[in-house]
Amino acid sequence: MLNHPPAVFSNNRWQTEWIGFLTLFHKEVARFVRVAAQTLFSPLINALLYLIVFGLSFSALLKTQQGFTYLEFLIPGLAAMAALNNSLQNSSSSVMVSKFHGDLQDIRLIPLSSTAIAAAYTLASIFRGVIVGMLVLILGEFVFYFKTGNSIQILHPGELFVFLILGGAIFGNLGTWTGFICKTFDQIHAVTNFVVLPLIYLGGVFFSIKIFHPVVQQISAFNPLLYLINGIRWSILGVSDIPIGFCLSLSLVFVAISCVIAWYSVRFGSYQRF
Amino acid sequence: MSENTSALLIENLCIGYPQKGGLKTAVDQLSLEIKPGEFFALLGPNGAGKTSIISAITGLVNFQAGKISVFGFPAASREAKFLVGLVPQELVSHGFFSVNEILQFTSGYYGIRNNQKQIDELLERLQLVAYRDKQVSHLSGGLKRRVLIAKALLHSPRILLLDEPSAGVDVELRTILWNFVRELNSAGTTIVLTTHYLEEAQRLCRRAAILDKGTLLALDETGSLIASMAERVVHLTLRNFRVPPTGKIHNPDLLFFSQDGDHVKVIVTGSVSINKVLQLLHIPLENVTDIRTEEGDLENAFLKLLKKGIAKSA
Repeated sequence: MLNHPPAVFSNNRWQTEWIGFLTLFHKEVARFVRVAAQTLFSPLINALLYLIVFGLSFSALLKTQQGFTYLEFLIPGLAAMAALNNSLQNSSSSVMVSKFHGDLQDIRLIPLSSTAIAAAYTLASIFRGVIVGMLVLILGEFVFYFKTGNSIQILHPGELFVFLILGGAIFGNLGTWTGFICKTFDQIHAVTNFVVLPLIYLGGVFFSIKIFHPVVQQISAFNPLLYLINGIRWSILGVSDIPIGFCLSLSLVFVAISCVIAWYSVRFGSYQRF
Repeated sequence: MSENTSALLIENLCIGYPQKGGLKTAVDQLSLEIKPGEFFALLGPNGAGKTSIISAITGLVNFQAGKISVFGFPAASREAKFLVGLVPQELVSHGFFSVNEILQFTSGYYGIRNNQKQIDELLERLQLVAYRDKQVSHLSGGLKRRVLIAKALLHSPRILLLDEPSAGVDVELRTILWNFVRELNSAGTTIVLTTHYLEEAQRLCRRAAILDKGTLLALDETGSLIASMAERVVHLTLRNFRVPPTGKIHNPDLLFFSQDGDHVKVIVTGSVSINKVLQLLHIPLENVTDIRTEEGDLENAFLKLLKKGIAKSA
């Protein structure tokens, strides 16, 4: 061991970078799997409550949305919300908890590029987001079957995965950004409560955006969630408030912007313990 | 990377931390060079700037001015990160992962796949085998410290930075740690140590830098520092001789002397020989029946330098 040459001389740059990236991705996935009750199953309870309270109980009182019963309309929205919210939480809580434990500094010491680090956090966030989104969708199918005896047909399964992945990337990147800029848990809760929650409620999870006041509709045009939720709802039900090509294009733009933000926060953000 | 390149070269380093009204200086115009294979100590009281220097070398803090190179590579560059291993001062918990998992992840971050042999060897050397499957967060402070040492050595760094590694750890760990570090040093690893335990630095390090408030007070071989700055106490037993009264002898190396019967106690600077002591006090050798000396240590030199530094800044 004592005469073992440093790794720099035994691996080429890209191989080292690739192994480092895979290791960090593996660690990030292992982290949320280790606490699956909190990270995978708790969002299901949340979704189930929404389905029972809004989907089942209020369904009869609420108008149909875009030709679908309220429960049918709600299920894709909840799946989208759960996927995006969990993608955000995965990277933000990983970075914050690492700051708390003091091991985030390890990331600063290792010879892994900021691009690889940001990409590993994002990919793990996408992974969790897609799993949680699909679990909520399956739960929704059960509830729908229980209520109607029918199941919801997923019209565009390939596109569903594309939108879940794009959404996971955007919100995973935003989670990385919040993790690196926030210095306390209070700050991260503030981001969740004052930024993410309004985006969710004004992004078309529970209602079609067309029922909102025109001013709110205009503001919502800047909300990336709107395009992702509509993309996911279109993939499942075939309806969207916004043309699907526009949803896809804007989502790609948001992915590009969020990637730059995540890279910048990894490169220049705070690694200090608190 | 030439073998003649300095292991660590710091030139005019300035580190400051933002605070109200500007930057608070932590390190001011520091320059020093550490050769490959050296065992070097960075000494100083709290707030001297030791951890700031270590953090700047590893890229954990940004510095405002100056240059740091590690075996010729800029500090915190990809190459430098491969060459440096850091044992930080503060203990780390690592959430839900076991010791072995953390060591595997850390190996992977350095691009090393299947590093279990190296991990097993380090676990063995640091007596962590029994704890390999335990969560790091459940370990005691001393065991966490060992995990940090193992993590720092996984990629076989050429320079090992030990930031207060023995702070708050028991004698057993210190023995394990120092034996291991000495062995690494013998095999060619450059060691940079910051410590509050000056006897450790005196025992282990060939050279030392003494810092205070971010300024370099002294940089020399440990032995020379002691010789030039520490005090030496000489006890003489004389036969039929009285030394001259204190007011009659003036020499900057002679700090104190007194006679009580046949016994004379003399305090001189560390570089003064016994022969010189006898000359200064005009004591003929035939009147000396016994000589006993108490050598000054690094702590003595350290305190003297700090006092000098305070006096200078006052």
